Amino acid sequence: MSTDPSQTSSTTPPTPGVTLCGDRSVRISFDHDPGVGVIESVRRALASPPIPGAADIICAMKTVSVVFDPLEADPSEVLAEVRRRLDGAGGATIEDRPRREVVLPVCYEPPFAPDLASIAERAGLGQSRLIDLHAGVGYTARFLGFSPGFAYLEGLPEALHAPRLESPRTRIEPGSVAVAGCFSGVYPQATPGGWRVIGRTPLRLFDPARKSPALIGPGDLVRFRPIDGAEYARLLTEQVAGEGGLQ
Amino acid sequence: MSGQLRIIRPGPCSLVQDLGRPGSAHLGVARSGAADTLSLRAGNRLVGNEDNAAAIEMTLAGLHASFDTDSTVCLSGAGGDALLLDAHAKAMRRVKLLEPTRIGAGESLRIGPLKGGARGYLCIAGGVCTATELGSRSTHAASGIGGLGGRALDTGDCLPIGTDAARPARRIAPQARERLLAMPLCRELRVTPGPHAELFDQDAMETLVSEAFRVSRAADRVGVRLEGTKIPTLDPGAIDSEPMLAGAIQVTPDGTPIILMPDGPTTGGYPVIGVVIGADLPALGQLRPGDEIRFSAVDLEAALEALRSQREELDTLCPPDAPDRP
Repeated sequence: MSTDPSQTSSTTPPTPGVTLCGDRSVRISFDHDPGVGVIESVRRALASPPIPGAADIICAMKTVSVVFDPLEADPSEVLAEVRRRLDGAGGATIEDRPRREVVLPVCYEPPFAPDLASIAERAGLGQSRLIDLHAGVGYTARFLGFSPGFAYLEGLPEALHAPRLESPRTRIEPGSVAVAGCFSGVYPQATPGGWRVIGRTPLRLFDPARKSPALIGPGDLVRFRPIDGAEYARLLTEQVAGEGGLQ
Repeated sequence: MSGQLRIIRPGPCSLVQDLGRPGSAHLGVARSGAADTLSLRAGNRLVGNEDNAAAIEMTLAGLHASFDTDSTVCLSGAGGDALLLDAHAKAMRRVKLLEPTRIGAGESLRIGPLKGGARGYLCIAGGVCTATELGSRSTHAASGIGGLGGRALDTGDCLPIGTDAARPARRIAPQARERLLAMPLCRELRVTPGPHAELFDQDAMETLVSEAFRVSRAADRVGVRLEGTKIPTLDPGAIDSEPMLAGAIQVTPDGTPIILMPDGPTTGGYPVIGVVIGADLPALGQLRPGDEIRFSAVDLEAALEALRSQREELDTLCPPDAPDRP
């Protein structure tokens, strides 16, 4: 079973606070992380059928927000509708559902892994053991944010928990696999960033030309598969060729 | 029918923008869209376009662009000296803001540094017709989508433009033009309180609404960093990342306020002390580095009333439908 047992065992899901934030959004906020199942059922209760005037539903760890156009929908009505739907959902029911699995090939070799050594040192473990740990578990994509297609991946083994860099790098290469706190993540674009980089995937995480632009979606199960530099180069070339073929 | 607009000189940051890209925030894709939607709407209406037609948003300085087809254009928002040049680059006449202007094939439009505000719009009858991506033509640099390759316009770029607008272009009275130009140039921004009151000192809101702030040089379509006054925070550090929206005023651990803009992140980890009301987002888009601004606190009712009356005023000064329309 891929469902978190701590979620299925709770019979009464926590009740979130529901308030307006600004004149254009309703903020649904839990005191503590309710788990991805509750957040996902809140999202579904709000998404379908669409709330009139609502433009976006954004999920995070313990907060969901509905962004709407206040000239199309009265904020107090949107607020009331959100409350009704959360009540109607019985305080957010948790449903099992098949999860999509995404496997990302990752090269953990030195040019792509500038922070692997420092994390290994912190953890008192060898680098190969650390790679085994990182690639040995499944991660849950909690939500997307920060930049297009960037998924916050939950499930990082404790040995890999590390604070953000004190001074963020001004440029992180696209495909960089990184860790910070209890999360792992993959940078889809070249951006500045403060997470510690331990590898790189040749896959494109975000491509607006694809039917689903983001490779990882909320709720997906994500695994990392270690590859060597030669396979990295081969996959990168294949991907570029594939994209050329599509055009 | 369609034609092309060719960029002879792009200006520092000229971007294709429409009213934005709702519906993709769950992918981490910002809404984007014109930073000053009021000016985009006005310019589009005067050339006969729908409000959402894509235009070129210029930042701090104008551009020089030639047209290979007869067209009608209208400049809105912040303006600079704008000249219509003939095919030999000889000045023909000045182009005024919010005055639709016929431009002939081979002629070009040259706009100087923008004054008064940060962003000017070049609206074209029929709109800029680059491909829509995720439902919008708006450029979002971080996603690499919209406009031309998701980037700012460059010398030699050719943009497809429509030549047939939904309606004929029209003129408005000088007083209406003046009022429309002044509407987004307010330097006092109204805010409703943010969701993280418990993370701020009791004096924080008082500081926000009583002190003056200066727009720093770090001001772009992602965020506007303010300087001159710090906001006291109780909890130095971050919150769990949560959904953000344009106008949210985040406060960093050292007390620096950053107002999120249309290309800002969809989630963020700094507490939010207040959210700029919808009616004042266009004014936010016109802030220039060095501008002094103030905030005032309003409740939801006042925020909504401001937004509704602003739209009514826009519709009165510059109706979305031609007045002679049955």
